[in-house]
Amino acid sequence: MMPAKVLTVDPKKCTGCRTCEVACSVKHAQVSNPARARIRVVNWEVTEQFLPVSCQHCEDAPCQEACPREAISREPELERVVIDYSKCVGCRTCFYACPFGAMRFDPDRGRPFKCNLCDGRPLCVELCEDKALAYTNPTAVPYPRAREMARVYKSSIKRKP
Amino acid sequence: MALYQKFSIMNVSGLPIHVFKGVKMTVRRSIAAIDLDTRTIAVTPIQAGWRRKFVGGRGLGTYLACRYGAAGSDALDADNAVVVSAGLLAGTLSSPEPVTYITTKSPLTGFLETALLPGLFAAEMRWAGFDHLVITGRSRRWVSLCLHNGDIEILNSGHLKGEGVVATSEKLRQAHGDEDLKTIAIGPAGENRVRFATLVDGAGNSTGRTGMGAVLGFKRVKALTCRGNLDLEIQFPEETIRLRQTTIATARPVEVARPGEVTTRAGVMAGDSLAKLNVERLGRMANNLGMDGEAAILMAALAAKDPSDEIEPLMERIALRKGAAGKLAEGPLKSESGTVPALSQICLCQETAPESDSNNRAPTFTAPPRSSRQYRGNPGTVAHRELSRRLLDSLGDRTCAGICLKTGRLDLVNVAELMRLNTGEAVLPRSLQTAAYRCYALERLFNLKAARAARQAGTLGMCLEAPGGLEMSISAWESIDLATFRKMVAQHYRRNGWDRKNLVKKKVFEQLEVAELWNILK
Repeated sequence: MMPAKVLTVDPKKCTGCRTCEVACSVKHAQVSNPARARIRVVNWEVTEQFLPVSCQHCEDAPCQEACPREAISREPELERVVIDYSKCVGCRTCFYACPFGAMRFDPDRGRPFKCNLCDGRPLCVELCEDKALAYTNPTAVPYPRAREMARVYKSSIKRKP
Repeated sequence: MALYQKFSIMNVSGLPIHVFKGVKMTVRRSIAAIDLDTRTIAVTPIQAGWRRKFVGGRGLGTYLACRYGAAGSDALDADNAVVVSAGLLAGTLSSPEPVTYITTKSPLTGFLETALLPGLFAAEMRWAGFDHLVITGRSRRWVSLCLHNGDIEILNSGHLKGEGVVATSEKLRQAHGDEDLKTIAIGPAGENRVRFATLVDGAGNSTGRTGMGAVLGFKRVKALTCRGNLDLEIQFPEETIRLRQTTIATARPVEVARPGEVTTRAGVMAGDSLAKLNVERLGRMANNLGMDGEAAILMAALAAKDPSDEIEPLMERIALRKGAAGKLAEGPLKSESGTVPALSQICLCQETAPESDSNNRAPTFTAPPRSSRQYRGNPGTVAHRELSRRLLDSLGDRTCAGICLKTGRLDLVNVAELMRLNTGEAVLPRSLQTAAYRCYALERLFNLKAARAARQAGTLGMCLEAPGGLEMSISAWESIDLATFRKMVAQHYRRNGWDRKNLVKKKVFEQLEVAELWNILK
């Protein structure tokens, strides 16, 4: 069985355009507002460094463990952590438990919200023109880095005449 | 202790926010008029008629600058209004690279100019609930304007005086306790009204030429900060997402400017004296001082006997207007011609540049036209390009063209569709063309009045007044045929129905549906 894909980030490619944030809020909240996005671009403008942060769908998810109502569970098909809003009471425990700050809270609805991987077709990945975001097989994730390292190493190898 | 001493907090009336199904929305677009003399702020929704006539962004910014500014007065005068605008689509999926437009009378050229500041300030402005800021008057103290979710605060910022733009942005972020705060600041050059001073945002993007920093410096506005998390309503979210997906799928790779081109072009004008300099390092220094890099480097290099040793201290003296460098701070048009060789060439390029916006006016001395063919074509092509750019600038993002281009020309039907999907406003393609033309014509009418006032005061740029000035030999412009150029200008005027007799008649204003400007610009 093929392992489920994971959302990966390449900070070197991110330009901080925040299209992912806008796309996410337009898709899930029908408005443009980064505060309603499930992904957030952490930026250091002066040094032009940007890092998109969203739910990591942790194997041992702290939010899942912290939830007193067992409203957060792991969905095996997409290997994602989801919130069951019929059980959620909006206590914000998950909001405090998340070590990445990826769990967000909607004050108007009184409920937390987080990335749900757009049911397997993340829009942020589709609209990222710089390809800083990818939705890929987890076994393939380190391969581009390994190949880049190998390319550097290869150029240093002197062939015998 | 707080870094800031709040001396005036205005509660804004008529906020463009209301609660709709438990969600705050900026359903109305708004203009904030900030009077620094009286420290009053008035926020009004954009009238429906203005939306139809000017779309938004640069178009409406130009109208507001004409309406609230004084064409006949000096750029560095309290009467001159600075308009900061976000485009109609800024902050939406249809605007991937939003631009902030700053429109005012330029202290460098004396004409109405729109400077383009790339970056996310425009989008943040819209998330904070504002589309346009009209800044008039002059503050008694150094202040910064803080925009946040429908509120505007005027904060005392005397402690930031003398700081470079990097330190200013950093201190503002610290003071507000917000690393994501968007800032636009002026440096020491703006404070000292150097005529090519810039506005620089937190990411280091600058407005380039036109001296917008000097105008804000005169008004004693050290910085603008913005942060917002209000919802921006999208009328047809699914369709806008689909359109963006299609655009990305069919996008072609963009041609990127070659690095080092600036050095080469500047070297041409300065007799290759710049070729040995570290232009990138000097550019960063100029940016931090709040000056246009190319203008500052070129002027300092031309004035210095040994550019490699003298250019950095000279640039600093220009920014601080110290000693003889104060003359250089007046910019190429107003410096004494004997002070710096080739200054007259620079100002000629400024005056005869094919476009009036900041990104295309002065750079002609660093990026001259690739071939003289550009000046032999049909003036209709030039007019189409001018109108297309103004329309895209009204939308707030020139990269919108990627969505709206068809057979190499801007497809107005697509632009109208883009507007409908995002705002729900149905507009006719013909109306968009008229709106772009209105923006273009208003710039001309304002500038005619400005030129008339300058001529009466004897301060019009020397290149325009000097007999035979246009015949001067310019290394980068040698290919221009003056007779053809003049013929094209005449053709262009005829196409627009303009001539010396009827250009400023009331009928012209009525045709443009801006009769209320007649008393201001006549």
